[in-house]
Amino acid sequence: MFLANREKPAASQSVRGGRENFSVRYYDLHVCYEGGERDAAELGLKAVEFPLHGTEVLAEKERELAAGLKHAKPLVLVASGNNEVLRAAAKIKQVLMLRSERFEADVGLLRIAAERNKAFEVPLAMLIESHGWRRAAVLSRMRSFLRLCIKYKAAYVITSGARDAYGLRRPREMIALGEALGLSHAQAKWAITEAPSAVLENAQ
Amino acid sequence: MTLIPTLREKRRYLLFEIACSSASEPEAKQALYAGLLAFLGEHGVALANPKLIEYDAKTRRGILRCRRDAVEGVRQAVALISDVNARRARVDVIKVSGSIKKAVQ
Repeated sequence: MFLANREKPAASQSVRGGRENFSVRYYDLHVCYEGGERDAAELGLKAVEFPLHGTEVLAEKERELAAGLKHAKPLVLVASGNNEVLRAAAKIKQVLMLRSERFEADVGLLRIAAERNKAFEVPLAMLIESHGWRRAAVLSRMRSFLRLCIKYKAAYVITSGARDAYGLRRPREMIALGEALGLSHAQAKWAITEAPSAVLENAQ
Repeated sequence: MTLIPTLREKRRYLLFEIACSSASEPEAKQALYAGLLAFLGEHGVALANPKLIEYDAKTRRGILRCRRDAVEGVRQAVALISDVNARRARVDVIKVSGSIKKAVQ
């Protein structure tokens, strides 16, 4: 299973009530602009800059997948609105992260991802860049998706998905937005600390 | 007439900084209040009772007051602000404190 030795926090487990532990390392596994790693470090995050240190494969058909994986960097993220493509990607060893563009619930996909140690990306940029009804819809879909991730024990990673320095968020804000997505404080913290750390370990 | 301490509204003061090229006080106030209203709604804002206490346009730092039990909601709303007067921006909460004095320290 994903994160064999790392226990996922229970929803009731609380780490609130004090300052954040500064010895903990916070990660942002998806920053897509030049200099993102430096800007993120100023906010207390260890970031992974795409496409410098990671490869994002946008595929709507399965045949596009293989082409995208050629010459890929160690950290491979497959993003698609088609769950069939994501299922196929989850079966590929090289792929470490998945992003469902529409956050559609697919129990089969979640089961495969949980079995094969793949993590789902939850990019905050989708929330930050949208407004009004659109933001409400994205929030609602992300909440349902994360609820199922927890139910089927699939890993999830909160990232900023920032396209510039203004898209980055501090760790405490990322946790707060995770809580807005229905996670407990401990689960949200896990999604920016231990879960991304395990993804990076797998990448190495 | 004053209220006894147990009946007084418990407040928190959020020291924030706007990462932006420039943001005057009216612009910052408008962006914060619009962001809070958009995310929390009229009912949520009424419960959170937020108020911009102080803002320094030079350092782009300010203090936002809210009810103690609404801090997380306010933090989420503020984190979702992406522009100030149509300029790209980010609002960072630097500190949450129970008094203005400690917030600015």
